[in-house]
Amino acid sequence: MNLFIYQFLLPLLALSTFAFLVTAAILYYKEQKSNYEIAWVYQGNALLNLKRYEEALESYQKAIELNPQFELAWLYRGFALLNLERYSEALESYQKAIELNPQSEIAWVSRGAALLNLERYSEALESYQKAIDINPQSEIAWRNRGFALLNLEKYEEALMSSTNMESPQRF
Amino acid sequence: MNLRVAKALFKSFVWIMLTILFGLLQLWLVLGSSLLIRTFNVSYEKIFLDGVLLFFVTAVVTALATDYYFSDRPYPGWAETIMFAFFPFVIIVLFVWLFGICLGREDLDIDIEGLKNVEYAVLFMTFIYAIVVKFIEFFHEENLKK
Repeated sequence: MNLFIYQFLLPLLALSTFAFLVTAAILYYKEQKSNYEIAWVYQGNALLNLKRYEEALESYQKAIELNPQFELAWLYRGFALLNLERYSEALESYQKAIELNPQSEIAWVSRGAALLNLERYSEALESYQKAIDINPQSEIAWRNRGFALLNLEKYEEALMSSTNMESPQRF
Repeated sequence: MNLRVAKALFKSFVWIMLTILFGLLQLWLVLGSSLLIRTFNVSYEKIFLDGVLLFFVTAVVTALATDYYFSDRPYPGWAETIMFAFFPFVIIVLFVWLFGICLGREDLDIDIEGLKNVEYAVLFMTFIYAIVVKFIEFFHEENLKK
């Protein structure tokens, strides 16, 4: 019995405790790191408000480097790129945000905005439709959907979309 | 040490202290009585070997692991497996084994000292488990507040 306890059981306990503590330390480190990701995004937002888009973009890039799964960083990166008129890159950024959270209405609306600027109206329309599916009360989605339809020369539908925008609850 | 870490540490410490206080209230009352009433003697060895502490720590470890599975499960799969499946499993299997051995200690030829050492180790592991799991949980909550 003693042999079992001292040569097998206690070392096993020590090993399990060690594995547990290492895991906890990694989780703590990740949790700490998430503070920095958010700090970079906050800095990026401040720079975005100051219209210092290149610097804002760098901040969002730093946040993404720390955590590539950080959806908000991808979304804001898209805003910075949109303001820099780098629409294709903005589109990629929004695409990534959507991959991470397919239910993000704002990501679909923003994707639509990038596509509108790239004059890819049909795809923009699909994007706005998706945003409306997620939130039928989204005024910006209805309005921009109307704009996409206008560019596709579907005037009646565009008018309906605008009417919806004014009182979306009817639909 | 930043404020969030200090807060999370403090909360986890208070959590474990309150759990020990209320979870083992009967034991504290018995021990308190033995100090006040001279004719009432409590054997510490009996407390250890009767498995009173084993039931308490089983409840604590199980509650911590179960709570996690009902939470928003913020940790990656591998960490989840180690922290909330493997480690509690090791502790609980040991409790079952220890309890079985403690029950049959009079019929089996057992080294009581060795058994006590395992029980100390398991109690220590549980204490570490509870304080670390609660710390990580409270720290995560503190981070969500920002």
